[in-house]
Amino acid sequence: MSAQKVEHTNVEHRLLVITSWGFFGAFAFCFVVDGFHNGHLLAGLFGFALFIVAFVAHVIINGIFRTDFSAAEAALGFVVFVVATLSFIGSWLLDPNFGATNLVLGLVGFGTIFAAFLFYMFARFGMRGSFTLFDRLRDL
Amino acid sequence: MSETLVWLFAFVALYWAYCVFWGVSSVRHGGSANQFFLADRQLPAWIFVLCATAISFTGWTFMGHPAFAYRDGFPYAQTALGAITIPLTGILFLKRQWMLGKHHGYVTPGEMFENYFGGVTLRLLVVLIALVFAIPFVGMQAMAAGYLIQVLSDGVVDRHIAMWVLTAVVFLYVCMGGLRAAAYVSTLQSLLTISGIVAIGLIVYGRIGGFDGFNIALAKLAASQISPVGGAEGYHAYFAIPGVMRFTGGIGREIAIGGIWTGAMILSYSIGLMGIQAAPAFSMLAFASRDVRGFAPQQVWTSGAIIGVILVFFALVPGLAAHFLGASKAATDAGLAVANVLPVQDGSSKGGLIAHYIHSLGSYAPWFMGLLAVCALAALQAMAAIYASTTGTMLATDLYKRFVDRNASDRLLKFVARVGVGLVILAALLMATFTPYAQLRLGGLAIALGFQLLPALAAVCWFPWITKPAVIVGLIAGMLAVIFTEELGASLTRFVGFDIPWGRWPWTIHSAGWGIFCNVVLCGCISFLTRGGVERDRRWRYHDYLRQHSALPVEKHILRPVVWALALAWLFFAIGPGAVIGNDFFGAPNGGVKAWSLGVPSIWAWQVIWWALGVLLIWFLAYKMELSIFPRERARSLVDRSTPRASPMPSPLRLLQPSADDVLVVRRN
Repeated sequence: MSAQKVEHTNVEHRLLVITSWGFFGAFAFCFVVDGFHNGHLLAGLFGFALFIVAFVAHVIINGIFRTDFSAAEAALGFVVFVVATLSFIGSWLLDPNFGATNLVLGLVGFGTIFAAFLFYMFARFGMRGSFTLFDRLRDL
Repeated sequence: MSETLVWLFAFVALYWAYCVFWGVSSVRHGGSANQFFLADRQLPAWIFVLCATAISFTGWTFMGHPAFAYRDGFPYAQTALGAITIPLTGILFLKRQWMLGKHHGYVTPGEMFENYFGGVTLRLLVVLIALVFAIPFVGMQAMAAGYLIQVLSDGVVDRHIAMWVLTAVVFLYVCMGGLRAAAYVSTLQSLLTISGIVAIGLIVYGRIGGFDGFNIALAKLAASQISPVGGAEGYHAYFAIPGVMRFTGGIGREIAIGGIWTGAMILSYSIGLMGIQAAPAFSMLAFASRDVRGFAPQQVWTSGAIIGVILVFFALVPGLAAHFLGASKAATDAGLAVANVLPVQDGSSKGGLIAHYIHSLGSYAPWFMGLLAVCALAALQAMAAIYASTTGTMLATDLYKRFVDRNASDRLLKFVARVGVGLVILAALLMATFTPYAQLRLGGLAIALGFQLLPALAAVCWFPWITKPAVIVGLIAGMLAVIFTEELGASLTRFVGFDIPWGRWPWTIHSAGWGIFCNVVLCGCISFLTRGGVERDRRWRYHDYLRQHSALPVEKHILRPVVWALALAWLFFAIGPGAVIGNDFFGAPNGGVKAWSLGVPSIWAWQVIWWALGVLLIWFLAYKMELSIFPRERARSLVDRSTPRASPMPSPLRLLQPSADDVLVVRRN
């Protein structure tokens, strides 16, 4: 494959990924915020479901282009997930108005995303391969 | 700063970041003029699908369609079947233009016309049409975007400032990355547009009590006497097409009983919408495509099916439901309102209705308000970006390179194109700021003028017997007919002290209809008179090439009369005079929900049925009649050629990296 064609393919892959996250992510974010802010459990769960759809879309796009998550993508996803989860835990512990609906929403939503991530890891790398990846991370 | 404003600005800032990111990214990849003008002819199918959808529907679907449906009711809403007629142009011409573009290395349609017909007249006319298309369109979309921000910010941001700033971002990324950046950005814009319309439709359904609640409210409206123009045949004007044609003097001269949306108006307007995909910008999008794999899916599934269902079920609802949500004082006074969430609307502000719907979310879900505002901005800016980019390219290629410096370097051509983009956007903004009314008048011409290119495209793609003088005279006559059946023509004649005896759209026929009638009649007659000659042989060489590679297989020739019959029947019953039958075919409009045999107003049911049949029709044309695809086995036989085929054209040709399905024979750039 020529260098120019490789360049085109890389750009198309990046465009698809960013567009997919831009589209699903924007709506998912709004639904999740609506779920927490207005106590709409179904709206919030729908938002988390959209995040998972965006993740699955990213995996499919990677499959089509025969590539994997880049280090930057993985790092960004990890940081965003950790910050969001810590925000949720912080709100749960510190916010007196944090209701039961919000708690259920957060636990189910973040839990499902984490489960989806684990499922992907095991399906993609296998049980042993996934733990090996964590070993590599520890060795860095 | 209020919470609403914070969310609005946050979403707009993220959207800008996306746009500018792709502008910067494209400029890193854009070296040659070809890359800037046509994205190196490497736009993949999926980008074409989203980009073509974005520029075909955009602001018209998002802001205009609901506003007109609010003002004129179901008769106007019948034009939702434009979701079928718009891609029809693409089905007829896009594949063949793409083939010629690859074969001869065309950058602009003007270049194609000059090469095919010989002489520069047509090329200059195409540039003129592109300018008349781009400047008012960019300006109108900018005006609507500015107004949207003003409404959503509760007047904190002035619409002129918003308009200039928003359009400056469009200029930035188009100027940096050319067509590539505009196409890349249009992918998200397209998705946001579609989801935004659906979201607003669902919100409105929710507010009015669901689908059943909406129909109950419609039944009450149909039984009432609230109608601005008086109904024809005893039916409410919002629920019945007022006859086949009204021999009135046109808008501004005479009021048509039952409204202007007669069968003739719906037909002429809907086929006029075909001008969107006949416009020069669309030809360039075809030239920029890597292959034709995106054409049929875009035409049939994205435009016909998805946009069709959105127009028929979602874009219509915000318009008609506005009567029951406080926008119509008469309906509120008559006790028909089910909620009061909208300010009173007089129907003259095309973008106002949707802006107020979005604004109504601000009090309890400002994040959704911010997101839907970006959806609306995306809808408005997608077309503006593509038109600015392609018009800049045409100014550089069709004017500067053709007449000033034939040996201009890539760097210089890109610079000229960027200046062209800047001039188009500047002219649009200046007009929108200082002469908005004139801009609206010009904007009214745009699609109708684009539609006048149809005979020229038909000549290049299908009919070798159409001659150059016929196309030129037909095009000029068509353009004049359009101008003089629009407000601009009346203004021009008044300026020179003469008053034409008709107004806008006389006999309830849209200016596009008048234009194409004059255009086709003259084109046919003059072609007959000027047939033969040496030019004919030259034209035949193009058609030999097209027939060699895209002729319909012999075993399918038998389907041709069937297709003609189906297409004509569809045009007649769906958007033509036969649509009048739909007024009460499924129950009298004023009979209430129980009298409506399908549970919805008869005219709406008629529209839905003919939309579904329309999708079937364009699927048949695009796939079965192979107007938008290359059969795999034939594509393989082309790709399997080991040596480049000798071209009848003088330009140096080479075989350029054939894709999996299609042969790409292009001139060395």
